[in-house]
Amino acid sequence: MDKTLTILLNRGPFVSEYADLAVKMALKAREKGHNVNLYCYVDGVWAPHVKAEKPYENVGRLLREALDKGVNVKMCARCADARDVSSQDTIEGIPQVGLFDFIDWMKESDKVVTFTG
Amino acid sequence: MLGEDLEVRFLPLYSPEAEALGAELAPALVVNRRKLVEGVPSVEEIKEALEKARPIRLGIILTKAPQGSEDAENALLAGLAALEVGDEASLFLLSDGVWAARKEAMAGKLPAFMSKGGEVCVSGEHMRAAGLPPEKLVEQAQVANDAFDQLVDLVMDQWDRVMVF
Repeated sequence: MDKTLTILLNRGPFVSEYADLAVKMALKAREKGHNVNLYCYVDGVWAPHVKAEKPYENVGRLLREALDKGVNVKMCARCADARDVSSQDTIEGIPQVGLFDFIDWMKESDKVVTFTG
Repeated sequence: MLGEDLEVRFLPLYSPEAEALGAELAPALVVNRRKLVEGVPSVEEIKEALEKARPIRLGIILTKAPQGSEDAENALLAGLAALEVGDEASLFLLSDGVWAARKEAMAGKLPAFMSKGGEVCVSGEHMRAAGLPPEKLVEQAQVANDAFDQLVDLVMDQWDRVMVF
């Protein structure tokens, strides 16, 4: 299989389940051999902000697992700046980029799934 | 060139069907009850229109309960609209969307969707989280025990288009 899936996450991890849904879907698609991109947009930038290890299930742990398995994760630089989310505060390996990166991902993807609430 | 599942017709002006579809110029090219071109089309227009009219498999992911927002209703309406024009439609109930599959939910609209050919798949993981046992679901709803596994296969290999509500 050589298909590409891009997932857009627009929601933070604490009010709804969308961050978990997005990362779990990304992980499963990656396990199945697809190329997977995850773009954290708007409040989605709060997901990479869950950085420290915790003794309970959390989206940060899922994100690190996704990165380890080769999911490409990026976040919107403007959205991060607006929320004072700096690179030091977020999980390593998730660059802050412009929205054009998401547009490029969409153009090269077979499927795009949006978790926007 | 045409698939066997395409019903291509030219409707004459003033015919009841042309009027029902709002066609005001003759002839109207209609594929699977979807009005494509009015007036006399060029060969290129016909080819382009047929390509657009090819039936698709629409996947709809619903992540919200029927109460509290219109999203469940809208997801179902999108599915019904797709079935109406000859497309295939599947509804995948994820997260709080599983509540839409309860027998009492949505005034029986889900069985109506299925009786028109729509498929309904319910995330087993989220049913268990919600304490919703299979016997409380509408009949013919399929339970996806490994929800994300099945969802990824549907999104990547089965569905042509995906909408998320």
